Amino acid sequence: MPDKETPSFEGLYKAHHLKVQRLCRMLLRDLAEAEETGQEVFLKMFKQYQTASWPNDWSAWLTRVTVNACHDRRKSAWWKWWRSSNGEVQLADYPSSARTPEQEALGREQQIHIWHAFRELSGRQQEVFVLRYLEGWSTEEVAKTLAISEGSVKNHLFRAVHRLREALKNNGEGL
Amino acid sequence: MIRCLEDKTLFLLSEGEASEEQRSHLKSCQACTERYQEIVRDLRLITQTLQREVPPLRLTTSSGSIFFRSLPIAAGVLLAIALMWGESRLWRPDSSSEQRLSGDISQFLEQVADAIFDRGSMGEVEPASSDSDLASVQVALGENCSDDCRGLFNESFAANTKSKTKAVDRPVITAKRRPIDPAMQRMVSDRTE
Repeated sequence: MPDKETPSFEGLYKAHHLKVQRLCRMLLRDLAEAEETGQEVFLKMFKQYQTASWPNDWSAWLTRVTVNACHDRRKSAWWKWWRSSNGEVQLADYPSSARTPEQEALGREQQIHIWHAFRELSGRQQEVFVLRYLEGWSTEEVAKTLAISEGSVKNHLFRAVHRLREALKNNGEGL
Repeated sequence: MIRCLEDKTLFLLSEGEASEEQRSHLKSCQACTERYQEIVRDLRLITQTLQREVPPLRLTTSSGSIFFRSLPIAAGVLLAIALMWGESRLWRPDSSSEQRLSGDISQFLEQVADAIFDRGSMGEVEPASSDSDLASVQVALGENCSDDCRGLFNESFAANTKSKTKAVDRPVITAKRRPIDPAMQRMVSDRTE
């Protein structure tokens, strides 16, 4: 039972729900499915919150649970593969606010090409890339979370980076 | 001096791995240094792009895509239908063989009924006369037999032959069951009383 010094469930939800939803949207193609998975993650968090064994780091725990939930959702939803069609990034709705000079230099089309290339990565490559570069985890932590070897993590990372760089170069040549 | 590094080695260098020899080569080789810096720059741009708001997806459907996605399901349905049809053909006997079997059973039952009841007339069976039996024995043993004796034998033999012929030649292919022989009924009722 949490006391007054420990974070409340509402506080944890407010602090992390954007990150969880973002992760789900990155790792799943369907928006509704991403929202469902996000709710599942917070339901698990609620159950964990009611137990006596709290994780040391709620953020890392949520990231791990989210990635695994998305992984399970992709595996189990074979019929959704048939239902789903090719997802394309909407140009009109893409946010255009550039924060750094590099992003300003990077054209909008180029950003969309990167997103397309990311969507074309395998599920495992997406998971590894997100955990390593977007969440900033170490290779060892990624391997432990995904239950694969560090060598596999490096291989997945290299392939993912190679394909993303190719997309970047192809777009640069096309411009 | 080692050759220029591969892309994967440069990537591992950006991850903080690789051997000391590879690191020293990277410092000394201008081409590898440029490639390394390009990898780091691209990786930073990609990461910054993907860290921004996830763009919404637009679901585009094409008839070709739906067609190819439907192929496995259509094949499965066709296979299931074929299996059901084959199973029904395998386990359901055709009507002609069923009728033939029914006819055989009817014939068998008719013959059994004849054997039990019809020939029956167990109550009507005339008791073999001792004279005809004696005549039969005498003829069988080749003993001399008088004209009366031989006549009794012939009469008895003819009667038996006639009854057997009658039983064999009777048409039996009919599905109707015969009513119980009245003589049999009488015999049964006499015994129960």
